[in-house]
Amino acid sequence: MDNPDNKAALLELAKAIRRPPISLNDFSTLTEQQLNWLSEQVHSMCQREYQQEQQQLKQKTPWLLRVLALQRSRHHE
Amino acid sequence: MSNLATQAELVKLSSMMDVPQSQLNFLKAVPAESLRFFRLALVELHFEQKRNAYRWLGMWIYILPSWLVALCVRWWIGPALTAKIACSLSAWRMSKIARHLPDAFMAKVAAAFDPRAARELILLLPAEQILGIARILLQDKDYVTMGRFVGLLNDQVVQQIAAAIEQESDLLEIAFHIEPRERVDHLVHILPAERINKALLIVCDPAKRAVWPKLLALMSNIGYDLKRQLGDLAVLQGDHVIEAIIQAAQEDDLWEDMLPVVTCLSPDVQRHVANLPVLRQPEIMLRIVLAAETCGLWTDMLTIAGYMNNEARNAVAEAISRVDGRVLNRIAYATLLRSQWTVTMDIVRRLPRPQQMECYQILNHYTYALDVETTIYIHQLLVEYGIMQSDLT
Repeated sequence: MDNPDNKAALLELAKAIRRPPISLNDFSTLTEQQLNWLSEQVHSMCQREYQQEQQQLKQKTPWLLRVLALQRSRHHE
Repeated sequence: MSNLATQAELVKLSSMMDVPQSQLNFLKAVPAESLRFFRLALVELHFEQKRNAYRWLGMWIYILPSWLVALCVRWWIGPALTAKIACSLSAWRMSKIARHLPDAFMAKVAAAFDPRAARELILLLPAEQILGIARILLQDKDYVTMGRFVGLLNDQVVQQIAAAIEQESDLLEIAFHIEPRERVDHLVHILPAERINKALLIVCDPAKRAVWPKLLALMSNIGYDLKRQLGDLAVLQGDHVIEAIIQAAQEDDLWEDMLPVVTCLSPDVQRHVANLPVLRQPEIMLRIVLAAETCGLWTDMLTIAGYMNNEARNAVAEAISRVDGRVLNRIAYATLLRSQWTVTMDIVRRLPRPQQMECYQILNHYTYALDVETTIYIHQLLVEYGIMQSDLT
């Protein structure tokens, strides 16, 4: 890690993309601010995707099937 | 680190994260391979969300007949949700349903489909349907989706799709997005030679300026043999094509990608390219020398310099004299690695006297670690090229 100040931000980014922190070694040259921005973008990408899926599920699936599917998914995750 | 590979990754990342590419410019310092790793992690994250829910939702599909499922997904579920559910189905079931779906719908499904689940499905789909889907994606200019799947297609289908694509610029756009990059070589091999010739000529068309980096990216991503073949082909098109490639590399600062390409060319072609007058322009040569210096490409640069004539070597020496820092140390080390002492000495003798002396000092350090024969050889060359006086030996 080149920059010890950004260690926490690097860990956060690794957590966001579900990868070990060591695999992001090349990102250690980035500043804390840049890493935080990347983590935010990853979170908002996931959030966008989640909302889109929820909306599609809501529109396209009968409510009983939807509730069962979401329960099933929660049970597995 | 490749500038073009980094650019390609930034284009893909910006589309994936839905942010303007300019906001990702700070990532230019990160190696392309690490950006690719980051992007693939995002792809996985994107497709992994709520996978279990979709798997469960897809269970009813096994109960109903294919035609009825096709009707349901087309008029009720829609392409985005279909893509998510389909990823959890078996390939044979998906292919049976897909046969009942129109190409336009399938093209929308493809855009949201996980490529990791598509390998077997693509082999089961009829070629005509794949061709139809490819046509729709091409109309929509969805090169990212095409590049994602083209690597999974068999050669015959790729040839049919390529034949249906009229514009070489479209071929280059798709090639730019091909995943995995290792497939690019093979895919270029199976294209007809005249298509490759036409693609190379794009670099002479100012109207297609935006596609030039994609052509250069193609040339830097292919293997040694194909680089040689394409380079030879480019030279056959005439000097105006090579000069246009040089200008494009200069304008987009792509010398770090282009220098390794030049060293793969056949010796005659390398000699021809290395001695083109356009390369001797001070600003172009300076950028080449800077790329060699900053990207550790001095071994490549010395190989090319080996083919250069007097005027070209003068231009190299002039550019080196304008670069600060430890440039001479790096040249000396590359010379040692490649044993290209005569080329280096011939360039050093053209440098201003203080730099010649600096070079002599650097080589003097080397002589302590080298065997006697090599030391004597280097000293003889230093004298022969007038870098040091004979009485110093």
